[in-house]
Amino acid sequence: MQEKILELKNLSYLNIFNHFNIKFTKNTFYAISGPNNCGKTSLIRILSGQNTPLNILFFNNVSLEEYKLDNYYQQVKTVIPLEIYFQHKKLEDELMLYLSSENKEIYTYLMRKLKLRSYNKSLLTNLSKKIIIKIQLLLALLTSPKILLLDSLDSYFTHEEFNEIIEILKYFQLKGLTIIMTTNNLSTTLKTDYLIVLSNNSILLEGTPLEVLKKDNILNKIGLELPFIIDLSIKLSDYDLLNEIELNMENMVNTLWK
Amino acid sequence: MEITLKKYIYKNKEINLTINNNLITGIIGNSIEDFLALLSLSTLSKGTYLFNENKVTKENINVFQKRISYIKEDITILPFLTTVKDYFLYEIKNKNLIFKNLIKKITDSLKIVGLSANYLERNYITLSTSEKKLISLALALINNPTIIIINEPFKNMDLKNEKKIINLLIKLKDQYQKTIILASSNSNVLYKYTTEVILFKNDEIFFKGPPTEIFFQVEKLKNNDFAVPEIIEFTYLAKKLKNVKLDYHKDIRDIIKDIYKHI
Repeated sequence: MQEKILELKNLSYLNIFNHFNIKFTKNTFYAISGPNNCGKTSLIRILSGQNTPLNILFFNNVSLEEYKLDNYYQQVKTVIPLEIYFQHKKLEDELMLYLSSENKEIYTYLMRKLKLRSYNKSLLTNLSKKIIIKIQLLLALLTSPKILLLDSLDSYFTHEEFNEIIEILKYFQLKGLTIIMTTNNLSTTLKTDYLIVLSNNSILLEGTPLEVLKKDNILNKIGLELPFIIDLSIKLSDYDLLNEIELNMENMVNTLWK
Repeated sequence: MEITLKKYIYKNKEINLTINNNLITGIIGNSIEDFLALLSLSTLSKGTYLFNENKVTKENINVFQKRISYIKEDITILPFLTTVKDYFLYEIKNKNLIFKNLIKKITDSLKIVGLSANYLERNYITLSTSEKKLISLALALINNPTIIIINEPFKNMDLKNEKKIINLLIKLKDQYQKTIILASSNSNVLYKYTTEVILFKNDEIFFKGPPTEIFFQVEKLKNNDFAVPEIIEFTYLAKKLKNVKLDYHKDIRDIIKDIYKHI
């Protein structure tokens, strides 16, 4: 059985959550999805420890009252797009605040994979949103956190660009990172291990992404759009033209017309 | 209203383009914010900018600026403003607009986007993302523009809100005769709902035409890193790999019927 790393117990927050419970296991890549206003971003903020009652958030089974928020902030990093304050004007100067001999290898890997090398001497104010978000991700990962919280990053990138980011996240997952990522795009969830769908401020569905996405009627009812390939698979199965969900378009064509 | 650019300079390149009136024209491409700002007449560049056959000059640019509203991708939160009403009053002051019945004008704009007058007293930062998007559209309508440029309206929207916004844009075009310029990275939506599509690459127009013409050129799109609508990609693969004579469709139910016929 996988070990629990993070848990919220009996959260009541404004009008968003009422006696809400959620837990996350170590080394898992989670996607949290749901319709607009279901509380995805609020949940990320709460899990990040911002304005969270310390007695309801548990890290490695220890409440934050005991574990202390400063220690928690070292283990849990959050990327909310464009919510960052830089202390320096240039990226290279900003990076000096985070670099050490211990993270040199990670730094080299991330600068290469995120294609940030050419921006080292750039003024941070001149950089595009995409680059700023990549820098946020770099700074978060440089400190080797145990948990990474991400809020709707995929909406800033093309499908191909975000696939590259997923590849980086999976590399860190192999090294023990737990990732909790919100998204409005159910296609993105297919890249993760476990999908939690929120609706009306509670957990409506959860399981492996494929298990959850098969419940198309429930998802459509709350206003979520199934990925085209899954939607087509399910509808073709209804007509007995397919036996199982197909995730690859080419494979689906080959299965339909053998 | 129609926009025509003749040898208009954008980032040291010449642009020649006509955006026809009373249509929804889609624009797809990377880093197009500056180009949308150029279309919205934020500044005047070298070359000719015709607004419904009238040449825009330094002297008359103010007149035409008021007839275009540009809704940017990200919602700007102004820390010195609180309520939705504050945002409207700020917009009105910024655009130097004068109305006989100010509140009626504001509530009419809200009504068009499907929001009630109750929103005026709401604290802006407490609104949801979708509500903020609708408010930004209502703000854009306050000067009764003839052209509305909107960038990434569907970002972070669920299907229900995406449909709400697209229906609103269609209503603005059909009932209020607005010309809509819709920039989006979502090729599925542009294929379904636009009449013309402009593909923008490396700061110039790469391709322009009806969506059925543009998006059917799958190889060309893929070779140039443009996203192909998924429903087209499937048909393309069936034709290419299995020589199946499927038609291109916009609705998933139609493609299923077609698949059924061909199996």
